[in-house]
Amino acid sequence: MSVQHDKLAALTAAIFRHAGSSDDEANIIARHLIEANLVGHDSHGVIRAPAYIQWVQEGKLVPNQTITAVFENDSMAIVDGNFGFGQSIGEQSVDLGIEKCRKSGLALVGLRNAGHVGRVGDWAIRAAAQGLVSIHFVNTSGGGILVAPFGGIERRLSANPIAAGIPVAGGEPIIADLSTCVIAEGKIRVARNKGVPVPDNAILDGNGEPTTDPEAFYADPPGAILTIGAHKGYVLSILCEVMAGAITGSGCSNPDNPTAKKIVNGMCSIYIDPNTIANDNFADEVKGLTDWVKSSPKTEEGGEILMPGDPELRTKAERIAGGIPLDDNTWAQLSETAAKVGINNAEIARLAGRNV
Amino acid sequence: MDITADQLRGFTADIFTAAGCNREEGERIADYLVGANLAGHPSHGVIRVPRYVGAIRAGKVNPGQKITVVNDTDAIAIVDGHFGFGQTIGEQAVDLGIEKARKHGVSVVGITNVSHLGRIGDWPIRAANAGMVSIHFVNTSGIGLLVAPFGAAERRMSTNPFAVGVPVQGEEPVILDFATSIVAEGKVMVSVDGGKPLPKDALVDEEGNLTTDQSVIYGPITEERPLNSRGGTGAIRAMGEHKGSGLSIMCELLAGALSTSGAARPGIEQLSNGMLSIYMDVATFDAGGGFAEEVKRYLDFARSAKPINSGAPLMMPGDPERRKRRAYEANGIPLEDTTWRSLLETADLVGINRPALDAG
Repeated sequence: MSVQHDKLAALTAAIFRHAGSSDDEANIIARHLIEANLVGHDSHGVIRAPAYIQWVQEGKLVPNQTITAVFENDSMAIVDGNFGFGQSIGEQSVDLGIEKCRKSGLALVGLRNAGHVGRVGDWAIRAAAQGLVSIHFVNTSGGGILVAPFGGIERRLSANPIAAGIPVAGGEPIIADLSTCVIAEGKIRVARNKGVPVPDNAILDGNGEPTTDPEAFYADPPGAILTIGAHKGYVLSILCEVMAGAITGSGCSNPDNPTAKKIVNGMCSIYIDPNTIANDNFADEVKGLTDWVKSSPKTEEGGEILMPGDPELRTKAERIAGGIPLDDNTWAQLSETAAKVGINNAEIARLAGRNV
Repeated sequence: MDITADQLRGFTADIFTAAGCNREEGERIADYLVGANLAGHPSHGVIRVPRYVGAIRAGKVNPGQKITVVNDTDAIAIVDGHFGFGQTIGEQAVDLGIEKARKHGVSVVGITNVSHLGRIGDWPIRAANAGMVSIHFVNTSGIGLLVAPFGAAERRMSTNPFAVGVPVQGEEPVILDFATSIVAEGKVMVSVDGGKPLPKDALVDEEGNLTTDQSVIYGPITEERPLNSRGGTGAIRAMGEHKGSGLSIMCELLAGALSTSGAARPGIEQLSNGMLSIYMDVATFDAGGGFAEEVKRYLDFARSAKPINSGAPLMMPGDPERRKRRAYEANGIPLEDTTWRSLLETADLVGINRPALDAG
């Protein structure tokens, strides 16, 4: 069953409004969650709404927050998100980076104590829409420790995504958005629910043996996710911890952090204005590389080579036209959450265009 | 054969001085090359001497160059290296980045028109020694085309290294430095002559099949050396499937397009690395010292993970290199006979005496 994206957004915004967010904030949260569904990253879409609401009710996530500056100069800032929604705090933080970058050609913004910042690629897209190149490093302060260091058995790192965005003259930006671990924890959970194995070389069991059994990940002792590209992904993940945890002051992954019981993201973002340094050549170079890369013969007949960000754009076009597919469990959880914040069934059905 | 670091440094510096560098530059180049040997990265060590000297004689690299600033703001600069030695131009560019970051907390420096920048991990070490966190993206504008993007059966990128340095209070910095391809070309070369075998998914042939057959890189393997990396019709694969391919493309766009050095393209005949570096001066924004404490606390936490193999304790990025360095400084640097012979022949070429230790 699928739901039209604008209707799903209306329901999602209503849920957050009822949970205490202003109209503006509720719309911002809904827009980011729906965008993740639209581009095909359902793990970062409305499936997150029930947990967000629960965190609000537990006081772990605080509606209607604004960033406060801890340090600021012309080209950089360290800001505190005050445990506000990552979607609204993220927008404020990225917009500060964009503003500083416009003046200085370069900006770094370190964000600490933000709620879940969602799909990190969204922030690279926001900067690219203003003509800026950007790179973003994200970690958790301890709420999402899942990944083993190279050579280790126990979890020591968060999923630690890195995103980068390159504006493309007259086209959609090139957006790379990758977690530094092989598989998202959500996918292990899905495999476990379905009773199917996870891919090879993705997880270790609690004794450090490679396994494809998702149960092993949740056993005692627990398993861990492996980093991409063995030691190379491991060092990228360490980089995320340093940038998003230590530079921002948000804290590197550690179960002893005072904020580890909350889902706190740190994000360190770097913005560069290509117009200040590379002038017109930049757009030509980007176009030239794209054409050159795509012109390679393919590994499979009928295959194609995509630039980072292309698959998401395709899914988005399909889902804008055909609606967002929602499985029954996600829909049930979403409507239960709506009921919990005081939206009656008739209103849910009216907003979503789908019966409860 | 084994040779002490001092002897190798002195001999290498003599060669570059005779080849047209002033003594200071000759010693600098020797120091970086021998440093790579000491760190256990011989592919970036003195094995490069014949090629570097050949480049001087062919007019493709210019001794004694200074960077000029093409474009800058307070915090950002693009510098032209005038095809000087990477070891010389790299130092100047890194020092400019450090100076700008000291004033503004963060800086970016892009380099265009520079010869081989050597082992990229050397640049974050230099920055970390000045208290800076730094990130470096590197490409070649096309002379080093070797890597296929995800889904491709042909070369479209260079091995595009990526390096980072993080200063650690009272300890050596954490340094990471890796190619965004599964293996660097040097490792493919080493595997031909009986070195460490390649991972089974390291290469792709022109039909799109995964292989470890080095002829897809060099063409038919004969007795002839050096191998020609342009001789084959296949490619090295990007690390981590689509994720590493995306990172490699980002190296092209940041180190190539943004630095103005140029992204990968066919038809390039002069080696030119592009490098875009980001420097962060922790002292500017972290007066309380929280950064240093957090880094130490985290490194302790990561190192405390139970090792998979109880005989192999966990290492931090940069640890393996330091271990090698200690061993080689104590016992001498192992050099392949072919590498040593090529150094002696280069000494003949530039007209200096072979060193006395040649007896072995």
